[in-house]
Amino acid sequence: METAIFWGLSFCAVAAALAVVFLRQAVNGVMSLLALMLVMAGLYLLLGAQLVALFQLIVYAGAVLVLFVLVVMLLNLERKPARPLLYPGKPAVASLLALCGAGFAAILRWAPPPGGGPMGGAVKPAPPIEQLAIDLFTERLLIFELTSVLLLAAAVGAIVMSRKAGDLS
Amino acid sequence: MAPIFQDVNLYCLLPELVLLTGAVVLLFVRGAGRGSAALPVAATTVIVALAAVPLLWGERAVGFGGMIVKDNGALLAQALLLITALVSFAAAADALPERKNNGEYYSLLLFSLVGMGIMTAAGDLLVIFLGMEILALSLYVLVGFLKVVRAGMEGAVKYFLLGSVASAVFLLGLALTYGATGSTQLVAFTAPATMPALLPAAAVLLVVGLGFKIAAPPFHMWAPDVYEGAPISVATYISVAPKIAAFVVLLRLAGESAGPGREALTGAFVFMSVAGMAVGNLAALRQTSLVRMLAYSGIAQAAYILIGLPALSAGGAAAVSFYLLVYMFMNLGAFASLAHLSRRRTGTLRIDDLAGLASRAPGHAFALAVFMIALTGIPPTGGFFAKFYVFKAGIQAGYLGVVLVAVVATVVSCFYYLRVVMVMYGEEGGAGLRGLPAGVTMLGAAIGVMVVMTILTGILPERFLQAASAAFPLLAAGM
Amino acid sequence: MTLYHFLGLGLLLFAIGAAGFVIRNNAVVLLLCIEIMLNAVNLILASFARYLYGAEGQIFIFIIMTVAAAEAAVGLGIVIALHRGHGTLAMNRIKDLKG
Repeated sequence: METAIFWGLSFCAVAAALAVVFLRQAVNGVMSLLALMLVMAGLYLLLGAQLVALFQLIVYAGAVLVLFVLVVMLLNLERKPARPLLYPGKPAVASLLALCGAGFAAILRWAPPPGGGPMGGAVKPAPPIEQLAIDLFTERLLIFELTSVLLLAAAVGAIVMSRKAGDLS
Repeated sequence: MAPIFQDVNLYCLLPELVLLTGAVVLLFVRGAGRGSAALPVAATTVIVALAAVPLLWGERAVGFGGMIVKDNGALLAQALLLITALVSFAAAADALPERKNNGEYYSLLLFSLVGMGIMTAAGDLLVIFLGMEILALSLYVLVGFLKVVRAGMEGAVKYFLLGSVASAVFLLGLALTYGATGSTQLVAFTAPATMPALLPAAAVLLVVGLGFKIAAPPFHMWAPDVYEGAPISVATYISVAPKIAAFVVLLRLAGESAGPGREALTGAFVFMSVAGMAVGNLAALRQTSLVRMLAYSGIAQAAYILIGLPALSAGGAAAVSFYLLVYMFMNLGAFASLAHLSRRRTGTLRIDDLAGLASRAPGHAFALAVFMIALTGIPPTGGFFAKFYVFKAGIQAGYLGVVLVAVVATVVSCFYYLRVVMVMYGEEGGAGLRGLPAGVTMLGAAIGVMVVMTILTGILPERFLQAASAAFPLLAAGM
Repeated sequence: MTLYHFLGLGLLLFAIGAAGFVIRNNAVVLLLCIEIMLNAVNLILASFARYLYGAEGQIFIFIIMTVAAAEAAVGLGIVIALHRGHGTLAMNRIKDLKG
């Protein structure tokens, strides 16, 4: 059962990612990315990371993607899709990259797990949320605080960037 | 109940806290231009942070469970970064349009200094990543700060897109490191790994992601566009500060790696170095614009410094930090001269515009000539000894081939560096430069200091080298 | 299900994102491709956390999500300013700077 769900979800994920890359209009790309986000949330559930799945829905699908939709609508991109679709002269490099990725994935998929051990399929128990919170606010306190500095800098930057040129207040 | 975490050692982050306070205060400073309090507040903050450096010197303050290690190497780098910021302030006071010379500009600059301070002192890959992101997000905005300039937005978008991909690559390296060792701490590189097969890939991805900051291939193409499009004071800053921070991180990575990861790392350094020398020097030959020439020369200079990284066993750490010191003086000087010469101009300064500068502004011509000679690597400037020490470490560690390429590259670089000197002293009557400001400005004083230091590092290189190797004692002794 | 399945899927998604970044021409789509890459990294971290090391990996994911959101905010700000200045988002037409 789990195996079937995994293959179904990963097929959807790859299809959605390819759709982002190959759909002409930016707004369709954003919608495909939304599909990818939802599939990713499913994969996180499969990995026993319920909290991550929840945040994936709230932060990514709920906030970041809405921002993208807003900008695409604001700029009226769908009326004149960027032409040409592909950056001139780069498809060769890209197909090489994709081949590398596919090859790498294939190697990983069919490589025999080295001597049983942790690779065989045994899993760690999903940590309780309490444990995550304790980790985040004790051992990794610095990381948490630095994230807040990052958000402050990003907020200042985004305000400076998106203000009209002549407006200083 | 869980124990409360005891290792909240804010003392080791003293300079960063000062800078952060300044950055927040600057958001509330109103007005712009000469009458505004923005520049004085920013300069005071940086000087106070600089004063905190000797306070922490030699203490090796460790905090947050080893995530922050403020050792002498980090402090040396921080001092260099803060000095760079001060010179860029002087350039901003001269070259930024009055209306844009406001609190937000300096606030973002201080945020980037916080990010770099975290990067240089970090003992954990995730902390390095967060420092990098704080630095990157502020710089993306600073590059496009003059939004009315089309070239500025073009530079900003290119810088942002390439920078974000470089962060994603760095993150993939971080994830694979975590998978291989179960930890993201730098010291975990030497510990026995669970999945050692992932370590080489992880090391290469980390270095390539960091390579964006020093403009090393394959993430080097942003440099000329960003330097040309950004306000000249920001270009001055970007051409020096992120490189210093990234090289300190690379030094730590190279010092901590062992086993299969180490070989991959060495391979990546050699590749980036050779590719950078080839791309930078060949492209610099073809430039007519002074700032683009300096951008490609910056790519080449970073490639020379990279030779010292695989050669840590042969005193490479001291050589690299000495080179960084000299690079700061000479490149900062060159960009400050450029800022002085091109202020209140529209369009870029071409090399031919400098014709006859020697007769009209002998002081500035002399300064620019000193910086060009130092960048070439001709004695008695510090540039010669910087190259000499790095090449010596490279030969001793057995990278003769790379050093030979570097020597050839240096010979090639004579053509474009010395062409600037020839144009200034040999030709007459350029039409491009009219009405250079008279009198002593802040920027002029900064250029003077840079000239003196560039020559002084060439006269007393041993002194500076000793100071540099004292800053990285562990790397010098342990490897 | 083993670790290798998830690792392979994550690397494949990362490669698709990277390839998309190289070939596409529209600045907003380039941002979307970067988001795909970051999501792929998150998936890899989650699978390591599940099969090898436990809770820690999930904290990294939260941090990376936050960073991705901050990057998207600044990036979209830059894109808006770019669109105002140039009137286009096609990267091949945004090249005044050369040499």
